[in-house]
Order: sequence, then structure tokens, then C-alpha cells
Amino acid sequence: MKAFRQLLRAVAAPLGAIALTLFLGFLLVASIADEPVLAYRELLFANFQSLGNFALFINRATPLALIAIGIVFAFRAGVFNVGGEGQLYLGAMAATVMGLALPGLPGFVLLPLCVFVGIAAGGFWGYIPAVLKVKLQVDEVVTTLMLNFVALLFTSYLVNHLLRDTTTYGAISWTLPESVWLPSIPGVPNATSAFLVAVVLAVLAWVLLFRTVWGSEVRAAGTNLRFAETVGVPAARRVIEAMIVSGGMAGLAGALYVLGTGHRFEQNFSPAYGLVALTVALLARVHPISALVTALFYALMLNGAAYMQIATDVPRSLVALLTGLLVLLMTARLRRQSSRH
Amino acid sequence: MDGSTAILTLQGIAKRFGDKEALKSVDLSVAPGEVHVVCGENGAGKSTLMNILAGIHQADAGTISLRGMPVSIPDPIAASRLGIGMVHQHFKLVPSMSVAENLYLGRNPRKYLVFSNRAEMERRAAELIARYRFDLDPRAPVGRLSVGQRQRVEILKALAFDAEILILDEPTAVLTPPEVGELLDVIANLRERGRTVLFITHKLREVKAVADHVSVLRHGESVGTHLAAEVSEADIARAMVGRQVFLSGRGADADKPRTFGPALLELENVSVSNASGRRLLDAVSLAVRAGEVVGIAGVDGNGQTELAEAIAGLLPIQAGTVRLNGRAITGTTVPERISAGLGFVPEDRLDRGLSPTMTIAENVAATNYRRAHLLRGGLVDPARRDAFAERAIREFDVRGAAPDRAIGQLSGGNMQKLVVAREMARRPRVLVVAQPTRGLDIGAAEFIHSRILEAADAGAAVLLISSELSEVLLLSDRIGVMYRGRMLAVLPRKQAEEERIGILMNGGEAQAA
Amino acid sequence: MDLVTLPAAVLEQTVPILLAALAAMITLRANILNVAVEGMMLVAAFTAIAVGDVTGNALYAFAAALVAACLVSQILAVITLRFGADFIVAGLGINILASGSILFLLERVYNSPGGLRPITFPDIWHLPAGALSFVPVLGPMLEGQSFIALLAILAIPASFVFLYRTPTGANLRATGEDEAAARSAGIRTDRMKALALLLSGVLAGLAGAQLAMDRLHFFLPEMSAGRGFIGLAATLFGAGTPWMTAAASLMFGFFGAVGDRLQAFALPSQFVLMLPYLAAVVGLTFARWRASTKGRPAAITETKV
Repeated sequence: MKAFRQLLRAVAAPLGAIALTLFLGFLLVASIADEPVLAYRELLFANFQSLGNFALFINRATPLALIAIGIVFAFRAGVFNVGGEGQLYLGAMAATVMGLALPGLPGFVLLPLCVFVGIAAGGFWGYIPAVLKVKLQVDEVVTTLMLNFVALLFTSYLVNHLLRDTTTYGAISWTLPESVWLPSIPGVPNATSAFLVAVVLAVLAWVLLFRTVWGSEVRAAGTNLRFAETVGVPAARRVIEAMIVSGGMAGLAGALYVLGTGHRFEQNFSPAYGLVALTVALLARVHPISALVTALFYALMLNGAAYMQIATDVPRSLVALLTGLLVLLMTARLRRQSSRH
Repeated sequence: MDGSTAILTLQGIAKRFGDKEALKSVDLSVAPGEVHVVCGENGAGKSTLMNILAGIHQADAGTISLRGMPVSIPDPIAASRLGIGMVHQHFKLVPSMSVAENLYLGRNPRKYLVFSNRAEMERRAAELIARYRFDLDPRAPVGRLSVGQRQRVEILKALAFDAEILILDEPTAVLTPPEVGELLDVIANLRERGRTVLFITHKLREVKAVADHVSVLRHGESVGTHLAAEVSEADIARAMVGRQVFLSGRGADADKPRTFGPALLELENVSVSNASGRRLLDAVSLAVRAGEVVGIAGVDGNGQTELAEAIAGLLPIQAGTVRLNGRAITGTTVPERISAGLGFVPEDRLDRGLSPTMTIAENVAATNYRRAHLLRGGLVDPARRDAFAERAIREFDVRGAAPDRAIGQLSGGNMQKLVVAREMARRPRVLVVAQPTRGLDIGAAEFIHSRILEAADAGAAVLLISSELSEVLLLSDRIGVMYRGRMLAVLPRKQAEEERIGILMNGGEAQAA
Repeated sequence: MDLVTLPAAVLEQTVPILLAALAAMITLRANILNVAVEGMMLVAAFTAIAVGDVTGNALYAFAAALVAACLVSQILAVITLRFGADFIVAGLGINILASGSILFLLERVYNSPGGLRPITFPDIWHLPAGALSFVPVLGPMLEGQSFIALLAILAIPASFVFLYRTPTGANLRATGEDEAAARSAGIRTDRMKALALLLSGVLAGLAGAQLAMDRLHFFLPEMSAGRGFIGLAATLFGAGTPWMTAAASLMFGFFGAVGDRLQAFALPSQFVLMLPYLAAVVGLTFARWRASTKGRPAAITETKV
């Protein structure tokens, strides 16, 4: 019961920023659109008008949720992981390479292999800044930020030079063998079952962080490293482990995107998922289950904007604008709350 | 002292922070050109009072008069304009900038309107340094200076503003004994030049030589001003505490014969050096027996922190052996030492002692998950964990605490009680407590003292490290004195006269052992 | 490889990076990691084209670009300094808001989400050929460059003088190094940070104006192409000092110019483009590694001897 109240508080806290953003957005829409109410109805509800729309909505939310849950681990360990995007790309690329390299293997072998290398690649990309931070106090914001670009350029090289599907136009890899495609969610065609993985992992993440000694040690290391050392926590190791989990979750998001939604690697498959997931994690008050809910909300807005554009004269880039606004409003609140302690 | 000739007069100064009354009513009168020492225990309100004078805090009530005129000091700039300069305990210096740049930070002399006149700045700095006969190079980056030199830069900074009244906040806390001597020379020099010096300390011993008057603060109230020459340290100590100090303790009945068990904590020639090769611990040997309290006295910074951390496993030991319960633990990890029966109360509760933003339950459970059976099926059982914390809260009489509150919201005394509660919960064979009552009020301090003695009575070996000599004298069966990383002597309580300990603490009479 | 045009190409690549790097450097000295340079550049580039399109006046377009970037910098200042938002998150938020607002305007006002291409656009002043032929090496390199490129090069010594030779610069550095010390010296640290952001806005505005107005005369949503972050990398690699930052910018500009040409040699450009980011990580790591092995003088907050 107490845990539920705790969760409620975590989910309720960012609602103010969301409501304020939606209100400001509505004012903006009202000033330019002939039918602001219709526009907003499309924005918020068109996702549920058909099974097809709903599937797209699920597919959009899944990577966001997975990365955001990963970032929760990093934040709880006191690491400001801005590197979700790079970890995501490496995970997606690793899964693609594995799937294309061994197409002969049966699906039940190859699929786990693809998932595993995706997690490993993302985890490795989280491990580097973690080790640099722990051993040499190199600022992780800088390293994760910079390593994003390295990962993006590296995957861009691979997809343009080695894996490129020469039969089509654009930087797109060959399509993966169907044996490794993830099934859809039963009853919702084309909705990736990776979403179910995200739901399970959100709960698992909550258990890990708040109901295991490991989780309490990670959080101790994240809130006061010297205290953690004193009470016998191998603090440096916990920080590194949390960052491997964090990067691994983003890598998993990439792998599952490729296996479940894209079925191949596209150079620009992510509309800044890593960055949006960062704000999702913050907006969710660094709580894994609340991160899942917040990711769903973001996906709702992102996809709803497209329907809004079709139905009315409001451009879909309104959502990008609102996202920026939301990030600004949300951090302003975040600091004021934490300064009370 | 006649108020009309005073340069600075305070009347009825009061200040409260939330529901904590830091200052109730303080009166103080300072004559021009004197060195006036303000004494008081931690938490008596000394720093609050000085921060009010420096413009950092505003008084809720009372008046401040300078040269007979009532003044208000809304901010630090106003204070310096009035000729009040403050030398903070934590230096406010920019490490990469030179001495001269630091002296004139925020008010560089200019040339051609927009540029800094560095030549002028260095000339003025050199002049100032020469006038007060300090040993400083105006061009040296502050980051390369010793702590004592940095403090002199701080003092010069105040003087560069033409401060008539100089406030020094616990200036000796960061200095080594020889540096303290140099500081006292500096202060004597300032008095010769007609400056008024307000000296805040809770260690009268160190500054009595240069003091003219001593005022005592207790629980936010002034309890009298004395001529320094006319009072003894014991008088002042009594005035600071307000009654006979610490009645119950082993030191008080040292004649009573006690028997101790086998040595549970043994150190043999333990040495620790820092990165630049300086010996922080120099071949320290010590044994603490079951049921015994061994106190370590010494001026802060003579290796006590390192001693505690070396035993706790937080500082790698380069040479020597540590044995716990007869077993060598020299190279083992912290959790291994905890399993072997070590309890450790670190000196700074907010630094190593606890994690302020985490809940009380999690802080108290931190070292106890497995031993206290707070897990079920491998997972943390929140009900058991909270019950465990409840028990600690009840046993240590922590009022207003609930397991799910952030521990950082509690008062210092209550936080400290919970740190001790956590470490005691395992019934450790060896208990190392460092500065257990720093910043605590008397009630909480006595409570913690009684718990420490109970642990010893129950058969634990207790190592007590404290820079409060009175505390060491009160609780210990034997007393060790540390100086520059060495254990100069370990004396039975009966041979440990205060005077002798004091001499040892300053490095004298090493042969006293 | 064309050795005659390479120096000019390097300079062309360097100028926006250099300006972005100096923009990030000024705030870094006030202890702000400025990730919003990218957004400020983009806003400046868009404003330059939009205003130039309407007024047909290059000077107006240029001035408007600077003003717009400064405005963005002050939005960031208000939200972080007044409302206590985190600099990183708010900076990234500014980037999203900047590109989102521009896209919104492109779609809504111009009906062309792909970019803004005025049919005619006023030219800005470029150094005429032969004007600097008496200066060896640098002269021919600068000829044909815009006056913004000249300003960028002048900005290196200017920022040095500002930081190390003026009282305001000293106050700004003190703010960045030890805020408590600065405050106790009567420095209004929030104002110093806002000033650093404002200067950052001016420099990022120059960078954006250069991108849009130098040769292209049109605006593309992805026009800044991460140069704000390359600039940040250059600043970090140059440890926040003007000359080293400029040198790093030149190096990254060289990578960029060479990267374009190396494709002819079948060396993938991605690896060349990666270099600035790798250099920032390696540079920082190396600096920390040296500091940790050298046994530096005690930190000033350390009270134990």
C-alpha cells in the first residue's frame, strides 16, 4: 500500500508540468487553428481510433520506455547519462550485424543472440564513461554526450558501407531474416511485443532498485558515495554496474526496435529517442514504473501530432516545440523541489 | 567595560532558524584595539553571531552599535564598508588566481577604464604584505600555498578593505600547532597596530596567551565577560557547559579496579602515506581489550581521521598489521571487516555517516540487511526493515522520526543517534567512534556517551577518537595522544593528567611515555 | 589533394567551429557546460535568412541574428538562474525548443518544412582578393572570407584579454572556479553567469550568421550539423583557454576539410568526423589522468593538512 502511494506521488508530481505545457500548447493552437478543440482531440485520442493507430503508438512508446528505465538506473547511481542515443544505435547495429551475419541459424538461437549482442553493445557504451568517471573523475555528461556522436557516426559508416541494401535508396541495411522477427502482440497486429518486455522490465527494475540489497547499494552510491563506502558498499563497482545496465537497456531498446519494428537498420531510425528518454526519466522523477507511464504519454503526443496535422491545419512540429517547452518547465520545477531538502 | 567607549556593542541579539532558536539574547561589548575571544561549545551560537556581524545573516531582534551608533548590516558588502572583516573557517579564495588577484577580487584597480591594472594590484599587495610582515609572494597562485599561508591571505583580504574589526571564525581548527603559533604572532601584531580582533573558538587553551577579554556563549545566550588573565581554563569550560562537566564516566571513577578481556583490536606499526609520500600514520601500535575504552586525544589533523579510516578499511595500509579478534584484517574489504565484528561511527555524519536524502529506514538498515534478517526470499522486506528502524528510533529516543522520512531532515543529534544505533545493532566486538558528539547538545552527547560505555560494559573493545579532551578524559580507561601521525604515548587514565596530555598534544615531551 | 585551396577550405570549416567553441568557452569559465550553443546557432541562422528575406538588407539580417541568439541565451539564463533549472537539461531543452519552433514556423508561416530559400538575398561583405596579399600565408587564406570570419579570428585575442586582463573577466573566472569565494568578494555571481551566457549568445549568433550568410544564403533545419557540439568538444579539449581552444577548433576544422576530400581516397568520412568527439573524450581523460598521477597541490577546500 505504501509502495503504491509512493508510486502515485512519483507519477503525480510531473503532471503539473504536463498540464501546463498542454495548456500553453492549446493557447498556441487556439491562436492559429480554426478548430483548436478538434486539433487537440486528434492529438490526444486519434491514437485509439483504430488498432493500426494503436499499434503505431505502442511501437513509438517501446524504445522510449526501455531507454528511460535504463536511464533511471544511471541517475539512481548518480550518473547523468546523456548517452542513451549512442547506446541505442550501437544496440540496434549490433543486433543487425548478428542477424545478417548468421542468417542460417534457427530463430530460437539467433533471436536471443541478437538480443544479447544488442545489450552487450549498449552496455559497453555505458561502461566506458562509467569507468572514466569512477577511476578518473572524468565528467560523464561530457563523455556520454560526445560518445553519442561517435556511435552515430560509426553506425552510419557500417550502414553506408558494409550493410547497405544496394537494391533500395538511402542508408538502410539489408532486411533481417524473418526467423528473428519478433511476433506482434496477440490481437494487435503490427504492435511490437517488445512492449511487453518493457512492461516486465519496468516492474523488474522497480524490484531491483527498491527491493534488493543491490538496489539499495546503487542508490547509496548515487546519493553519497563516501557513505556507501563506509557502510561496506563496493560503490565504484555499483556505479559501473548501474551504467552497464543503463547502457544495456538502451542497447536492448535498439535491438528490439530492429527485431520487432524496423526489421533492418535505418540510419535515422531514432527521432532523438535517447534525448527524449532522458527527459522522460527526469519527468518520471527517476522512477521506473512512472517512466513507463511517462513514455506512453510522450508517444501519445508524438504520434497524435501527426493525426492532428492530417485533420487540421496545425503543423506536427508543434509537438517538438511543446517537447522543448515541457523539458524547460519540468526542470525548473525539479530543482525547486529538490532544493527543499 | 564601559559601553560608551566600546567600538562594538551588541544588545539582545536573537536569531531563530525555523523552529531552532540559535541565539536567544546575546550582549557583547568590545573595546577598541583588544583581542576579544568568544568561547562556546559547538552549537552555542558563536558562528551565527559572527555571521550576523558579517552581514551573512540578519538578527531577528536586538541592536548592533558601532562606535556608539546603531547600524544595520544587510549584506557582507555593508559589513566591509563599516570596517568589519570576516575570516571564514572555510577559506573563500580562488585557487588559480594569484595572492594579489585574490586580495583585489571584485574590486580590481583599473586602467583605461576597462582593463585590470595588474602592476598596481601587485604593488598594493606587496605593500600590504610588507606592512604586516607576512611571508607571501603577491604573484604566487593561491592553490600552491599551505593552509597557514592561505589563512594569512584571508586575513590580508579583510585588512585590504581597511577592516577595523577583524572576526576570525575558529581559525585554529585547520592549522597545525606551529601554524597556530604563527597565527598568534599575527594577531599580536594586529593589536599593536590598533585593530580590534574578535576570535571565535571552542578551544580557549590555544588562544589564551593573546586574549584580553573572554566572553562565553551558552545555548544562544551570553553568560559573562572576563579578563583573560583572571580566569582559568576550567572556569571557562564550566561556564561554557553551565554546570559541572560530565559527571558520569569511567574517567571520574578511575580508581575503581576493572578487569578486561583479551585484546580484540590490535595495531602493529601501522603506517599510511598520502600520494606525495607524507606519512599520515607513522608506525602506530595500539591494543584495545574487551570491555575497555581507549581514547585518542590530539589536535585535529594529526592522524586521527586516518587512524579511524585505516581500521575501518577505507584507507589502504602501506605497512603494519591490524588484527580484529586475533585475526589479521589488514588487507580485507569493508564488508569483511563488518562481518568480522567491526562497528564504525565516522567523524562526519553528513559525509560518511549517512546519506541525507535517503530514508531513515534505509540508512539504519544499510549495514544490517543480512544480519538483522531484513530480507525475505532474497528481497528486502520493507515491513521488517521499517520495524528494524522503528526499534532503533525507540531505543535511541529519536523524537519526531518515522522510518520513511529522509534522515537529512533530522537534527544533528538525532542523526548521530541513528548512526550509532545502526552500528550498535550488530553488537560489534570492536567499536571505533570518531568525534561522536561533535556539534551535539549536552543531552544528546550524554546519551551517546552512555551508549558507548554500555557497549564497553557488554564486552566490546571501544576506540574513541575525539578532539574534545574533556570527552576523552571522561570516558577512557587509557588515553593515547597523537601528534603528526605518531602515537606519542598511551597512558593509563590515572597517569593522564590534563596538563601532561596537553603538552603531548602539542608534540612536547615525547619522552613522557 | 588540392594544396592551394585547402587552407581556405580549412578556414571556412574552422570559423563556425571556432565561434561555437569560444561561445562554449566563455560559459565554461563561469562553470556552465553550454550544450545550447547548437540551438542558438540554429536560431541565428534562421533569423538571418528570415530577416534578410524580408528587409533585403544584409546588416539588418546580421544584427537580427545576433539579437535572436542573445535572446535565446537569456531565456536559458532566466530558466536556470532564476528558476533553478539544471543547465544540461535546460540547454538540451532549448535545443529541442529552438529546432521545434523553427520547424513550426517553416511549416506554418513559410509552408516549406524543408528549409527557407529566398529567391534573392543580400550579400555580406567579403575581403576582396588581393587585399591582404602583403601578409604571408594568412593573407591569401583570408581573402574572400566574410567579415564574420575576420571577427572570429579577432575574437580569440579579444576573449583572452577579456578573461585575463579585465576586472569583469576576473570576476567571471572567480564565479566559475569558486562561487562562494566570488560571492564573498561582493561579486554577483548570477549576473556573471547571465553575462557569460549573453556573450555566448553573441558568439553563437556570429556562428549562425556565418553559416547562413557567408555563401549559402538559405536555411536548412539541419544546417548547424552538430557544430555547436564540436565547438563544445574543442573547448573541452582546449581546457577552456582561448589559444588552446582556437588551436583545437583549427584542428577540427582541418579534419572537416580533409574529411570531405578523403572520400576520394575511399577513407570513410565518418571516421574523420568522429575525431573531434573522440579528441574531447581522450583529451579530458588524459588531463584527469595526469592530474591524478602528478599528486597535485592540495585542493583549496581541503582542511586537513
